[in-house]
Amino acid sequence: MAGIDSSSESLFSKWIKRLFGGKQQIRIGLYGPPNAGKTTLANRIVHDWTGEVMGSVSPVPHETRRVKKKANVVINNGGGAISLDVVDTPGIATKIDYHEFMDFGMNEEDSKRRAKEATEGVIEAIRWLDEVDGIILVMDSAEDPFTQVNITLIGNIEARKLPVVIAANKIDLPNASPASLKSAFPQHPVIPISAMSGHNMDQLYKRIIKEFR
Amino acid sequence: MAEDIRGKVEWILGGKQNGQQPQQQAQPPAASISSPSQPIIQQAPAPPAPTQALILTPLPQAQPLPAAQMAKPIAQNPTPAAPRRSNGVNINLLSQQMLDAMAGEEKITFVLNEVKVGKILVLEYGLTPAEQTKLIERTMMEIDPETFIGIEIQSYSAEAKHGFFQNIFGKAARPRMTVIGPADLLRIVHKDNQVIQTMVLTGKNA
Repeated sequence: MAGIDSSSESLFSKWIKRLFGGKQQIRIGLYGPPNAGKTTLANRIVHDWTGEVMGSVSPVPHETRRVKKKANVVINNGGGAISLDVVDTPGIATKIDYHEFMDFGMNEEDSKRRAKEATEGVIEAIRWLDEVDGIILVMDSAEDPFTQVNITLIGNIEARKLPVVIAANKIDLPNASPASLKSAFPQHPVIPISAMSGHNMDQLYKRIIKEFR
Repeated sequence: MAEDIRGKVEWILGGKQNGQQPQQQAQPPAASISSPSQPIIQQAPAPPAPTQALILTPLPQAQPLPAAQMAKPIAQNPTPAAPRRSNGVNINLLSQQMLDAMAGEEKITFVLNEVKVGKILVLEYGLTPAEQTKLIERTMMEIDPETFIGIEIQSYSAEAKHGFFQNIFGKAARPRMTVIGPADLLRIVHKDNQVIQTMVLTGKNA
């Protein structure tokens, strides 16, 4: 039970920190299911404000298998500024089947290794929930919003009382429906974006400053 | 994976959730939503062969039992094991009392152990968000490429609690009916605010 209750301890310590001076640096985690575009968005944010990139992207699921951090990303969008530590996390999943990787042309040995690393990445991502001050929840707006990963992440964010912005990604796809995401999670801000093309990123930056500062 | 898809099951939730309307694209359930007074399980009218449909409605809020009548700790006393390669699939409906009798870690261990031996569990009231992430974490630790690829889990969004004491003390929203099974056996077909539609893949594991 101790592990399950750790979130409330973290919540309490964060509340105390906020009460007595707050944190100068806000640590923001990018969370979501595999292939939602978390690393593409992390790259977009970091590139827009530092000129660097955070990680490689791939159509093969679980390309990001370790948490990656980029400190001191200052977003200054005219109306305000915020300094973030951006934390890109592996996609959260409830199952990992190495055969899925073989469908992308990987051999069995590499696929099994990737699956093993992916399981470790999911565990690491979950444990980082206790370490972030806010979350950008990245969802694929061309996919069903009611996935269990989305439901579980929203539930954890609400239980921890973390500020959240939902990035409804991939609006460049013809079957994208960010309106479905908005109606599925009306209690949270949903910003339609394309991390790949950069469309509507200015709106996301405005919302990040508003929600996380 | 070339599996025979034989069983199709719909887990239908009665009532409106959190004041949300069903999604526009949601498919209507196979039959009208039953009231809690109706049987818990009923055969859906004339399902198209070979698909089988079950309709589940949530139980009314159960009253806590006296301690003497509470279920024994489950982790030490699991439900009778069925051989994985039998002619059927175990679908166990677990009451709120049964789950409430277990501590958090014990509950996670119980669920995972049951799913790993091929059982599909329907929890009257599901797991809290923290328990769900713990279950995912423990599942990742248990994954074996050859024998266990993980779990399929679906639940409805937690019921929002807006009472005075809930607002003051931040009591977690109550989880709702949840279906959990082995990922190589249970597949989610469709989900919205009212219906969780699943398929049981029996070709590989039967």
